[in-house]
Amino acid sequence: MRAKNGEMQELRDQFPAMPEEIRQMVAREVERHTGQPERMGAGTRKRTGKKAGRGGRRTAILVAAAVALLGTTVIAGVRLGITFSTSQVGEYGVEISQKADEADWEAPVEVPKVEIQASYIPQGMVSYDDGLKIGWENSLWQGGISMNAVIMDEENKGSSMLLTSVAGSQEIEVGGRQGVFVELAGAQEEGSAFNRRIYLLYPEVWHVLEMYIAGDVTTEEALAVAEGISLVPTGETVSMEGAYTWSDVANPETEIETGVYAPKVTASRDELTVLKQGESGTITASAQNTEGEYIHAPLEVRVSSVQVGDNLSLLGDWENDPCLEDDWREAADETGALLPDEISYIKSGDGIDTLDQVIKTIQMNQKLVYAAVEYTNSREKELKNVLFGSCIMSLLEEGDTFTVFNRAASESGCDWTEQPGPAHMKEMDYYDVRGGDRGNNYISSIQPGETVTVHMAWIVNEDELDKLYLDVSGLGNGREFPSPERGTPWPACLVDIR
Amino acid sequence: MDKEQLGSLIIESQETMYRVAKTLLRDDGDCQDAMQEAIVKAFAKVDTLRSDRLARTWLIRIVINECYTLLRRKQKLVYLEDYPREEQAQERRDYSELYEALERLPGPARICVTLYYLEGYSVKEIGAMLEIPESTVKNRLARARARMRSQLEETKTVRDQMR
Repeated sequence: MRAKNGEMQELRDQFPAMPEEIRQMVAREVERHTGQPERMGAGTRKRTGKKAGRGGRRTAILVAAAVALLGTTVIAGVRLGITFSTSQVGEYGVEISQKADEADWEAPVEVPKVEIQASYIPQGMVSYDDGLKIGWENSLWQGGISMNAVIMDEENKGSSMLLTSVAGSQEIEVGGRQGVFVELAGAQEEGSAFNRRIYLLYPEVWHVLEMYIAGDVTTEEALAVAEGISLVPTGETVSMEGAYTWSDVANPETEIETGVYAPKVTASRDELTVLKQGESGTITASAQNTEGEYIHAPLEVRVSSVQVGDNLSLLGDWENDPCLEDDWREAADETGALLPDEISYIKSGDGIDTLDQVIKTIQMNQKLVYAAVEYTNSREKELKNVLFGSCIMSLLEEGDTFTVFNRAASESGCDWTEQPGPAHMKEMDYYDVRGGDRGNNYISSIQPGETVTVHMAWIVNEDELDKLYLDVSGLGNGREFPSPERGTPWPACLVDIR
Repeated sequence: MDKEQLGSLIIESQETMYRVAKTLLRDDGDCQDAMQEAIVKAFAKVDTLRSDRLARTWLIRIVINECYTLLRRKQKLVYLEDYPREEQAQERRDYSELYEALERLPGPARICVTLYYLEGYSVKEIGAMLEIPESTVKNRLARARARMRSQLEETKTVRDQMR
């Protein structure tokens, strides 16, 4: 649909305008919460959170965590004659098919509406989002298990779903239900990526349960959860017509074309503000005025000094510095000397015959860049809670054009690079001025004419030292140029720190 | 992020919040309810926000959750075909063919299209917001575009036949 991309972008213009009464509601609610803080959390509106049951038991499961690649097999004996089967496609593709005995299959016009109920929830986790999510109490928005009950429809007969980059799959029987467990490549790595899946059949209610399991949940726990999942009819029905069904999920699609919102990695000098070290410029800062109103205000900024070293001692008493993140400490030895980092150059696989492959690794010396950034209030009134932020950018300069350095492009056949150390972080990880309610990147107050100096630091790859700029606009992420055409309110303000 | 800054973020993001809510709920009254619930929840949970740079994504995620909660609570998880025809005509009379094509998509595909094409979020960000793998986002976008193209071609054919 490449030709339609322009039309797709026109959708924004064609989308219905927000009614004025909703705009007024938003203003009222914001005012209520910010202007009358004593009412915060008073619960004037009915809350609908669902308390999860925690009384489940941990049940021994038969399925081993380690999975094996299987050929095409079918577990029989399921009601309605509907079964899953898996078959290998290439080296790393697995096709999951639903099969139905013709004699048993008669797709209904309507199917029961169901809700997901879990009888077992691992310790430290809670069920929320009406049962669709089981997450960790202390980080509900990351990781955990996501679930969905998908309707089976007529097209389920013979429909199949191709999963790529599969490390292993296994047909399973959990809680008396037939299903498939899939482990994607890289599933052994920690993190919140949803790297395993379980599909279970609930033919008596015409549904398939999909479970996406993140790296912070063990396979054993996920299978134990799966064993206790019930799809309970609500008494309502859902029309099959137009419903989002398993065949929608399973229908193999080609990859979409990307690039509609490709990052802006090239910018001309006249699109940017470019300063030298020691030179002052003006940025727009988010802050509050003395009346507490939230405003955008001009703020003078100047990078007064930049030091480069290879030891955290450049920061001062780094061992007791509360601003220092743990991964920075791990990037150095006990004396504070930065350790080399390993950069992997990776070629993407197609997920069927090839996986992502590391084609080269190099050891890269790490350097510490320590900058003093001065913010001056040139207004006649005090500014409070001034939000500040800078990111470091590696740029190639050719004439009046700046291009974000792409390490992968320097190696033939490489699609992307990866490195575990903090040098991949372009945003401001270290800064020594804290403010705001949460003690982070805010300057609590700047009086008229006053200058506040913030020390910021980055760990960078040694071979990028000759490409470094700071973007002090407060909008960037270091990997692309912020720009009004992409929705940011003002362009980048670069400071050459090479 | 403090409450005042969250308030500012909400004001700045209200158009996005509305488009997300409108995509999932269609009815403006429901949009208002979901947005109001989301604002209440965002203020109540602002202390749990780990990084200010994730605030906008976090806020939109709350709106999406509230929309789904409202849909389930009101048992309104229905698709366009289930709407009374008069209501459809009333709601959609001023809309373009393209917007109508968007409206005819299943809910999960609609929200992916809105977040990707209208709001400019990346596949990765949408995956994080909807708590689904990136591959699922890509699949939904691909299917959505195919369906919209088919819908637009059908509309054009009908229009041509009526001439």
